[in-house]
Amino acid sequence: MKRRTISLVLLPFFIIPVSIAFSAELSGLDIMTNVDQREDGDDQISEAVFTLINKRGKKRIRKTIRYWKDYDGKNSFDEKTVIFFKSPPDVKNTGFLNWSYVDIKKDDDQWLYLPALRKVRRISSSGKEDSFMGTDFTFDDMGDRQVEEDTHNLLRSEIHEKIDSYVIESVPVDKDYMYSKKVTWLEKNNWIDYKTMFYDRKGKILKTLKTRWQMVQEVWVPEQMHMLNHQSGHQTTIDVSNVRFNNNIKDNLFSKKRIKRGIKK
Amino acid sequence: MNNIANKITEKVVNFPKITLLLTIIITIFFFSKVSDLKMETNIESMLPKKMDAYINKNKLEDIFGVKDMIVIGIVNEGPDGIFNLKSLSLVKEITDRLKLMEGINSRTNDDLVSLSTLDNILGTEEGMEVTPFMEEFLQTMEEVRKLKKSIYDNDMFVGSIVSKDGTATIILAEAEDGTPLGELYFKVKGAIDEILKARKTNDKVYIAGRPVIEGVFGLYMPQDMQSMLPLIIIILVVVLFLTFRSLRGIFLPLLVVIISTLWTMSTMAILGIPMYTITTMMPVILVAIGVADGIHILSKYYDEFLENPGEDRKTVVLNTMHEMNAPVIMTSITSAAGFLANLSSQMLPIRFFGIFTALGIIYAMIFSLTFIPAALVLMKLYAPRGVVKRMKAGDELNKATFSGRFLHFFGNYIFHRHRIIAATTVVVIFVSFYGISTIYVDASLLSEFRKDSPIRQADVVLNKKFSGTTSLNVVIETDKTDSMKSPDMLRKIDMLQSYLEEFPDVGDTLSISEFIKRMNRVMNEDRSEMEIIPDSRELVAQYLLLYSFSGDPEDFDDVVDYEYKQANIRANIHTDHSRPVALIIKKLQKFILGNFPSENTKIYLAGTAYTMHSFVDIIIRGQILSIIIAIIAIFLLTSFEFHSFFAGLLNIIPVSLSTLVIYAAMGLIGFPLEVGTALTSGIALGVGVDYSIHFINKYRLEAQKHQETLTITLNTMVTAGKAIFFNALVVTIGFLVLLKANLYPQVKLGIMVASVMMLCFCTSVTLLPILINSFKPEFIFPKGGSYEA
Repeated sequence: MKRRTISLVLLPFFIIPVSIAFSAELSGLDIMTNVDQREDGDDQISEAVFTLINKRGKKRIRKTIRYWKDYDGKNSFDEKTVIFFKSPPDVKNTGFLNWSYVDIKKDDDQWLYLPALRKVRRISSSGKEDSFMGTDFTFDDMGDRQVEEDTHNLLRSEIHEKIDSYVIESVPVDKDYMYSKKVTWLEKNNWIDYKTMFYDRKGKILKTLKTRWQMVQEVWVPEQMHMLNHQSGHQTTIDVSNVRFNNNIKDNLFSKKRIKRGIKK
Repeated sequence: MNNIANKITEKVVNFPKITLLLTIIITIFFFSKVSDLKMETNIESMLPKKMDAYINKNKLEDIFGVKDMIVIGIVNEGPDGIFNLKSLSLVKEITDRLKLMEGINSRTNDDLVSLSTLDNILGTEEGMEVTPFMEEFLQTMEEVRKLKKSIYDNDMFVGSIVSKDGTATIILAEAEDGTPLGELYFKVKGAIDEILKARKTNDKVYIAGRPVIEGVFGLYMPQDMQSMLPLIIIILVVVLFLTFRSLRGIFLPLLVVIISTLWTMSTMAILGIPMYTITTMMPVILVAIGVADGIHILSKYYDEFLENPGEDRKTVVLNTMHEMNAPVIMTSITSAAGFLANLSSQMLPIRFFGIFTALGIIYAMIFSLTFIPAALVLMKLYAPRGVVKRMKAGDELNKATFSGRFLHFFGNYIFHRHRIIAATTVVVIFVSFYGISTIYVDASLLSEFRKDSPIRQADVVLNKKFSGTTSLNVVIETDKTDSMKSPDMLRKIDMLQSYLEEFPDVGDTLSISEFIKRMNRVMNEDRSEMEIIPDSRELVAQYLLLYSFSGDPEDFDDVVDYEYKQANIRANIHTDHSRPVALIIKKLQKFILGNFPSENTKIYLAGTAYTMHSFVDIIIRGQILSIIIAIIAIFLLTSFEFHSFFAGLLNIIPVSLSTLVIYAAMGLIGFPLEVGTALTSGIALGVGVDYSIHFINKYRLEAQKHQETLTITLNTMVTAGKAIFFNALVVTIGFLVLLKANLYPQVKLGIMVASVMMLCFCTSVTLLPILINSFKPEFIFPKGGSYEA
C-alpha cells in the first residue's frame, strides 16, 4: 500500500521500509520521493507521551493512546484515527476522532468527546499550518505535507553526527507558506530523516526537529521526536512506545458513539 | 581656599599662553572622547531594579509574555465604516507587510493580531467551529457582510479589534526584543504611507501604542535638545553682545560654557555612563548656570578698568580676580552641592544627572578662574565706545549704561519703599501657601507631545474608538498547580473584572474566565445563557485542553501561566494620565484586600498604568526630598562660607521663596506637578543661590568701604546687581527658545528656567538689601565699625 500524504517528516506512527533502491545519481526530488513512497501497516496501536516545555522550563505532560487505521480509499476514506487521553487525570478519557479523505480538497472531519460535558462535539478541522494539538509541531510537520509542494535540492552529502547523510533543502512552491525553507538530514543507508531545520518567512531559523528511531516488527518507527522553537524557546517532545502493527482494529472503534466509552479495556 | 585661588590667578596671569595651551590640549583630548557617549532612550531602563513596578512588569513579561503592543488603527468614517472591500484589503495588506518586517515579531498570531490573522470561535448545533475571519482578500460585498455579522455575533472582538460603531479596526504588533522603538515607528509609518499612496482610499491610518510613544519620545528628546542647544547659544551671543557690546564679552562666557559642557559629557563617555532621556536637559542647564561665572567676572573686569583708567591690564585682571575668586568658588560649590542633593533619588539617571551637573559646574568654575583671566591678560584693555564717551563726559559708572541707570533707580526705590516690598512679600507668601495647596500630581507621557503631533492625535482617535490604549494588569498568584482551573477562582476573577469595568476610564477587561465562559457557551449549542463558568473543574480542564488544540502552544499564555498557578487580568484604560489611574489603583487595592483571602493567593499590579503610576510617585517624592536636602545643604555651606548662620539664612530665603512661588504658580495655573516640572524646579536652587551669594558677597565688600547703607545698597546694585541682571536676562531670553521645541518637557523646561531666573533675580535684589539693612547682621557690619580686608 502506497501512502500518498507522508512527507519528509513522519508521523511517529508510520512505517518506513527498511530498504529503498539507491542510485548514485539521485536528485533532491528523487530522494524525497523515495522517502515519501513507502509501505506501512494496515493499522497501528501506540502510546505517546507529549511533553511540552516552555522557555521557563515549566512542563505540561499528556499521556495518550492512539489507534490508527488505513482505509486506502475505501469509501473515499484515507485513514481514521482515535486518540484518548490517559492523563493528566482531569482530562482522562477525553477522546479525539479524526477522519481523513482521499480527496485532498476535502477537509478532515473531527470530533471531540469531553467526558465532563458528556457530549461528542464536532470541531472544525485545523489548517496544515496550524499547531498539532497545541504542540510545536504543525499538521504539516507531522506528515501532512506532500512532496510536490516543495522544490527539493540535494545540497550535499556529508558525515553529520557520525552518520553518512544527504542534506536536502526544500523550498515551498507557495511563497506565502509559513516557512521560507527547510533543511533535512537523511541517513543514506536507510532513508531515515533524523534532523530538520525550519526557517521562517524572514529567513531566520525558527525550529529544529530531531528524531530518534526504533525498529518495531521490522520497520523503523520514531521513538522520540523533539521539536525546539528557537524563537519562543518552547519545545515539544513526543515519546512513542508500545507500538503494535496489524491488530485488526474494528471499524466501529472509529465512531462518535465509541469514543464516548473511553479507552478500550 | 581664597589664598590658593589667588595664587593660581597669579600663576595664570603670569603664564597666560601656557594656560591657554593646556586648556586647548585637555579640551582636544576630551573632544576626542565625546563621541563615545551613549544614549539610553529606553524609559524602562530608568526604573530602579528593586521597584515593585519594575519587578512586576518583568514577571508579567516573563510569565505571561505580555508586552505593550504597537497599535495601528484604520479608520473609515464612510457610511459602511471599515466594512468595505478597500478598507479590509488595506488591513490585510498592512498586516502582511508587517509580518515580513524586520523588528516586528510575527512568530505566532498572538504577536501580530488583526482581522486577517484572527480566528473566530463559533458555536454550532453540532459543536464548535474555528475559522479565520479574513484569511484571504475579500472579493464581494456578500463576504464583507458575512464578516461583519460574524464579528458582531462574538462580542469578544467588538471594542477591542473592531470599534462598536464599525468605523475602525486595529492591527496589534509586537516589537522584537532589542529593536530601537523610535526607528521602528518611522519604519512602520513609512511602509504604511507607501501602501496608502499606492492604493487610493479614504481610510485614515493611525499609529499609536506604548512602544511607539516611548520610542518616539526617546528619539525626540535628545534630537530636540541637539537642535535647541545651538539656538540657545545663538540667542546667548546676541544677548551677550547687547549687554557687553564687545567680542570678549560674548566669547569668553560662551567658551566657558561650551568647553565645560564638552568636558562633562566626555567624562560621562569615559566612565561609560549613558545619557538618559531624563538627563538630556543637562547640557542646557549647564549652559544656563555656567554662563554666570563669566558674566560676573567680565562685568567686574569692565567696572574695574572703567573706574581705574590708569591701571595696566595685568593689574586690572588681578584686581578683578581677587574680588571674584571667592564668590565664583562659593557659588560653584554651593550650586554643585544643590545638584548633588539629587543623589537621594532612587532613580539612577537622576543621580547621574545630579553628579554630572555638579561636575559641570565645577568644570565651569575651573575655566572661569583660569581660562578667562589668561585670555583677558592677552587682550588689550578695551571698553565699548559709548560707555567710555559717557564716562569721559563726567558720568559715574552707574549712570554710564542703561542697565546701570535702571539698577540705580531700582536700588533707590527698594531702599525707600522697603515697607511696600515687605508687605508685598508677605502677601506673595500667603498666596503661595494657598497655591501650593491646590497643586496636584498628574503625569502623562502622551501629554508631553504637542497636541498636533501625529502620535498624540492617533492616541486620541484610538482611545475614542476602542477600549483604551493603556493597560493595567492584575496578577493573581497562587502556589498550587492547576488552581486556576477551579470554578470558584474563575468566578472571583469574573467578579474582579466586573468591578474593574465599572470605572468609566476602564474600556474593557480580559481574563481566563472570559475564555472559559465563551467555550462553555460555544460547546452548549451557542446558547447565550450558557456564557457562565461551569461547575465542574474537570470540564474547565477539558475546555482548556480543547482550546489548546486550536492554537499555538503559548496561545493562552497571556491570561494564565503554564502550570495554571497564576492568572492575569488585563484592563484597558482610556487615559495615560497618572491622576485617574492613581484613583483606580487605590480603589482596586481596597477591593482586592476585601475579596481575595491572602493566605495562599498573592495579588500584584503591573502594566503600563501601574509602571507609570509608580514612576511618577517615586520621582516626585524623590524630588521633594532632594529639594529639602538641597536647601539644608545650601544653608550649611553658605553659613560656613560666610562664617555666619544668618548668612546661611539670607542665602536660602530668595531660593526657597522662588521655589515656593514656582510651585504655587503651577497650582494656581493648573499646571500639574509631573516628572519634568519636578526635576526642573530643582534648578531654582542651584541657580538662585548664585545670585544671593554674589549679591551678599559684594554687599559685604561695599560695607567695608562705605558707611552709608544707601551708598552700599546702590553700589552693590549697579555692580553685582547688574551682573545678576545680565545673567538672568541672558539665560531667560536664551531659554525662551525652548518654547518652540517639539516636546512639552522642553517647553516646560524653558518656561521653568526663565521664570526661575527672573524670580531669583527679583527676590535677591529686593529681599536681600531690605533684610540686610533691617537686621544689620554682624558678618556684614562687624561690631566696632568696618574693617579693611
